[in-house]
Amino acid sequence: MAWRWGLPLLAIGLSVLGLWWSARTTPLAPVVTEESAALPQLRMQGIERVTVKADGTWVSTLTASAAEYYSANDELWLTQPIVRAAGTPPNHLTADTARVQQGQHWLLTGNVVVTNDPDHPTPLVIHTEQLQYDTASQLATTEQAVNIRQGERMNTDAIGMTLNLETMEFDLHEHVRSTFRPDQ
Amino acid sequence: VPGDRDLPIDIVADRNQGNLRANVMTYTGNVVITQGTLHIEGQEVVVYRNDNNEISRLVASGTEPAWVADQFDLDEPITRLEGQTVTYDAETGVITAQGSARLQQGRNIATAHYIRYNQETDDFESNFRAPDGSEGERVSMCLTNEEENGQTADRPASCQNIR
Repeated sequence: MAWRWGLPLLAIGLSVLGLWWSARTTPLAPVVTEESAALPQLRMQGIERVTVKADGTWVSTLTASAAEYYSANDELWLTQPIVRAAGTPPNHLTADTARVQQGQHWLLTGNVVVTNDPDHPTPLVIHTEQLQYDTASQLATTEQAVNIRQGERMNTDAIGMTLNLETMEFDLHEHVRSTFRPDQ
Repeated sequence: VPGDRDLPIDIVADRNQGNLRANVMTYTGNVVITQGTLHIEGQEVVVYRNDNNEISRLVASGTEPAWVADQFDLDEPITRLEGQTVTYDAETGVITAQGSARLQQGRNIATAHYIRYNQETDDFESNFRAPDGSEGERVSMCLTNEEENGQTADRPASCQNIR
């Protein structure tokens, strides 16, 4: 008979003890007020972050003149970010500012320039004013005006673009106007 | 017109897809391509570029006939070639049309399943069979001669059924 009640009572007792113990030892979590959520928890000047694989292979380098981190919504704000990403060929991404959520969802704003194969004599240069970029899917999208130029030979303007930064598959959504100049 | 081939090629379309690294891209939706007097229209145009990023070939197609029109000399009438698929080879100047193909130069008309026209030599070939083996409409032709006095004769009866 005692067994039938003993076990549950023991379990309850232990959990109450556990609760009391954790409450006693865990520092009080900072109370997040509206003001503190608006303030960055971290401010950095002149940052550089190099990402490499486990085997040491270089993946990307991020530099920025300034960065602010907001833990409330896990958001990193970057000023003048420059991203150099490995690839065949590599990509080079710059903008006036960028907001990075959960380290994956980028919103680049202001003079956004993607350069594919920057060391090529006539690299492909894509310019827009705002670009959303997801590092997991490698998809970059914009609904704004976009210009794509390759040396002096090819120039395309359009409104809206979807671009896979890994495969360079692209889709220009509307109002497309291209000019191809023959070799003079 | 001589010198046109050195002019830029302009393309206007609703949409454009492809791979920026590959040399093939597709323009869709009311596609209009111009280079001097050369004029190409189609619902879809696939553009092939060579390694110098120059356009080497354009393939226009669509629900309505795609067509190419050009004036090969200032004193010549406009030549227009249309078909379900029209291919313009920018390097050789050869234009081909396949599927209800129709070539018109001034008042002269030729229709067939397949027509091949060479801008450089002014030669053209029309055939009920295309190089890819597909077959279709036999060749029909309507040539309207100039009268001595420069007046153009009425179209002969045999041309009545030419589309």
